[in-house]
Amino acid sequence: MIYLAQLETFIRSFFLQALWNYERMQNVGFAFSIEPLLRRACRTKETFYRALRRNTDYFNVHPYFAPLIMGVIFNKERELAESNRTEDPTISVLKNTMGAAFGAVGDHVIWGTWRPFCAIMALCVGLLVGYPSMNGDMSSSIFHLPGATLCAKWWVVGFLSMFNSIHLWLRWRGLQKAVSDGPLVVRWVESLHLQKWAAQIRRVGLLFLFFMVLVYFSHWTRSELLIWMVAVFLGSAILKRWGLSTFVIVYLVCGVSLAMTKLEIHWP
Amino acid sequence: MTSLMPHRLIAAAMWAGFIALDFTACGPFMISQPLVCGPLFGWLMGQVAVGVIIGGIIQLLWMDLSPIGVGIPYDATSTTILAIYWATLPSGPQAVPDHSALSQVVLALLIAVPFGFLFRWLDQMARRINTIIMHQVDRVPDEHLALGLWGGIVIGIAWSWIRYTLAYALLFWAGRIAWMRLAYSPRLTPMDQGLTMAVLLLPVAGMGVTLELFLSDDPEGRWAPWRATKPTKNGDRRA
Repeated sequence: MIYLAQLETFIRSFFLQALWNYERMQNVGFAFSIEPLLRRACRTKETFYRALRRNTDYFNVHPYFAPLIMGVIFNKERELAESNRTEDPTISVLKNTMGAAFGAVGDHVIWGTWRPFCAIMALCVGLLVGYPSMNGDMSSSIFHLPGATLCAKWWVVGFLSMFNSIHLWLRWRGLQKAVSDGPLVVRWVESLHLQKWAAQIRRVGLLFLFFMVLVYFSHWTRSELLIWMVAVFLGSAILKRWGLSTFVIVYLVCGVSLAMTKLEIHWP
Repeated sequence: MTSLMPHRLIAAAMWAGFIALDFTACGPFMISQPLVCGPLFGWLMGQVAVGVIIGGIIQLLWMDLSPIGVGIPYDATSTTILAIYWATLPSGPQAVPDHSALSQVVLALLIAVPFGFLFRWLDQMARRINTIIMHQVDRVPDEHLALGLWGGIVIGIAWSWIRYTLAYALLFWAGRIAWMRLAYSPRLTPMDQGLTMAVLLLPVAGMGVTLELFLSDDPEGRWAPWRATKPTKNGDRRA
């Protein structure tokens, strides 16, 4: 029966941020998601009502790590329900501490590393299948329907399946492990070496990016155009490092494009 | 779907509202990433090529966007959707085959870029309203709290979809009027070649931005709350 409650919590956790607010952030989503597990943990209606109310307090974490914390809180609530006490202040402390820690891990590993990596992989493949051929034939490129459709399929299916395979696994496995191990689930997370993997993935991502740059640049053989492309590439990286907004970079690049046509450098 | 009929606008706004739900209401499964929503919305508008070009460029340029803590980043999804809608308007590029058509795709992108900030602001406002809804859920008696939470989530999802759909419908409509005057203005003809060249250079700039992201030790830090929000007068940080 606990499996069904886990499954329900897993599904409900996708709506964690539906009522995200500045005061208590993901509190409604958290209480909504953990409710099936709390029903299992509490023996009486009164303890269930108290537990559910307690879990409407402040909560914020990276959404993919939320099921893991729900599993931990389920364990703590079960312990409390089986004891003679009515309140346990460590529950909210544990929830907030884990929320902050896993929030930071999720932001770095998922948003900062895994998502850009999957995007670069998909873009690389899309570019390879839908880029204008070396002889200048544009008919099969992304600028026309067959090439664009092929590229779109790779981007949509490739990116979504690659990204969400880890996303869904992390949610489900995290919840399962947390329900069975309780707060000791942190050892499981530690054993995943997420930070180490993130560093490796970033290096591989960098390689794919360079590969993409080479493929993109190799098709434009006119030297004056190539020089401009290298200048824009390096210039954008440097301006971004200096903290310039991408918003400004977009208009700067368009300004450069207009200037290039004044210098008689046109689309090949 | 390339006629000027209002049903095109309404259908486009409803689909855009569904895509935007991926942000916070459900998932996120990353359907709202420009790489995905670009081709999808382009396909819905009848021109996959435009969706691929705009989605690819925006994905590369805004690869580093992350919703960290209370910080709400620039809304690249809205930029993608608005640009595609305007670029695929009737009497616009039918298959994006030549230079002038590509220049219109870039023009639509340039017009849509500032609206990412508008949608970020709208999201901030919506989350303030979410606080009011949350307080209503909080007032529900203990024995009905489980039901109250259901209500809160359903209202949250419905409210997200309605506000995005309305915002998109309004901007699609207002933008169409501006687009028809601007995109086919003879004054812009001398800029055609330059804008077409931007199709080539904008992905290059995006690769440069992505290079900086992969070389950064703190990739998610750039969208941390203290960067994505403004300080108030008394010094504290508020979204």
